[in-house]
Amino acid sequence: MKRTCMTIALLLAAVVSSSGRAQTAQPAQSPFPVTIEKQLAERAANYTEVSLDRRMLDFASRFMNDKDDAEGKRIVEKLNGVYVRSYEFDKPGQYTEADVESVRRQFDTPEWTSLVKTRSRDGSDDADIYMKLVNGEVQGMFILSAEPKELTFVYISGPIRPEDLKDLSGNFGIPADSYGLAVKEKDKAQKKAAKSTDKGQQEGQP
Amino acid sequence: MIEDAFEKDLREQLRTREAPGGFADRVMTRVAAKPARRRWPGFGMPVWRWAVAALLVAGMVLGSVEHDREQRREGERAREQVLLALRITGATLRDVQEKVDAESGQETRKQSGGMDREGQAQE
Repeated sequence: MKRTCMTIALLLAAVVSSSGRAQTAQPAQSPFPVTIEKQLAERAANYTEVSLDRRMLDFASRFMNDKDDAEGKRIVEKLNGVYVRSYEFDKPGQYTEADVESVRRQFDTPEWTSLVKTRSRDGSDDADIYMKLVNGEVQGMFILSAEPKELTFVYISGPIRPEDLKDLSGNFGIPADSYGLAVKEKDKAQKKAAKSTDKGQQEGQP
Repeated sequence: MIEDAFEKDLREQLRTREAPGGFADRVMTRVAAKPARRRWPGFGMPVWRWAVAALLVAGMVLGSVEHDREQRREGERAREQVLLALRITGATLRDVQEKVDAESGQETRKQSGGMDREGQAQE
């Protein structure tokens, strides 16, 4: 009996001490091509990579209790992931249009709708915003900004609404009128989706 | 009855003798001076086992405290990552906005330039 109690106590101590060690989190899987990420990181003077999956967002939101964090917390609580890659180069020409295209291609599927597309002649001043629409609701956003010495990709997975950007306006550097931009584009995309549905129905009619 | 030497000797040794004078007083004085030895309650376990159990409990408590502290540190790091991600998202949207505005501005200038030329041509 005494030996059993001792054994149980030792096992409990072992369990508690092992749980006391910091949980080694599995890194969130990147939605961008890993090869391109590595190449860009090697060429960049400095780079920032943030990968937050659902688990990490839930964990972080538990610690976002400041008054200033309220809006950010409300938004990230609904999301499934936020992935940011930002590369700064010391001179132009450190990335090619093919590099950017290989990232863009990940979002060239029927689920994704291109809302904003600006192109420069040499591909060094491009911008894209893609939205993933499922049953008319936004379930993801991809933002790309390419400049001669800077390249940034942002992928947000989950129900991010343009109105959420409005709520963030003025915080975290988000411009106050980005809401207007995104709402206009969302309305355009929804009208386009509605038109193609109507067209399909008309063609189906005898 | 013939007593042999052994029995005689034994009787002599076991004969009651008076205690020396003051013996009882001396004993009682020493009893009063010496503190009573406390009996270890133990509940059936010796001291060293209790010490081991106490160490284990202390280890568990310390482990739990350290775990909480580490969780809080990781939570703060995660929070900073979220805020960084939102800041970069904001800056990127601002860049896109500027590009779109620049493009719109160019389009407007092209259109108004074309209209001016048409106006002049009509005249």
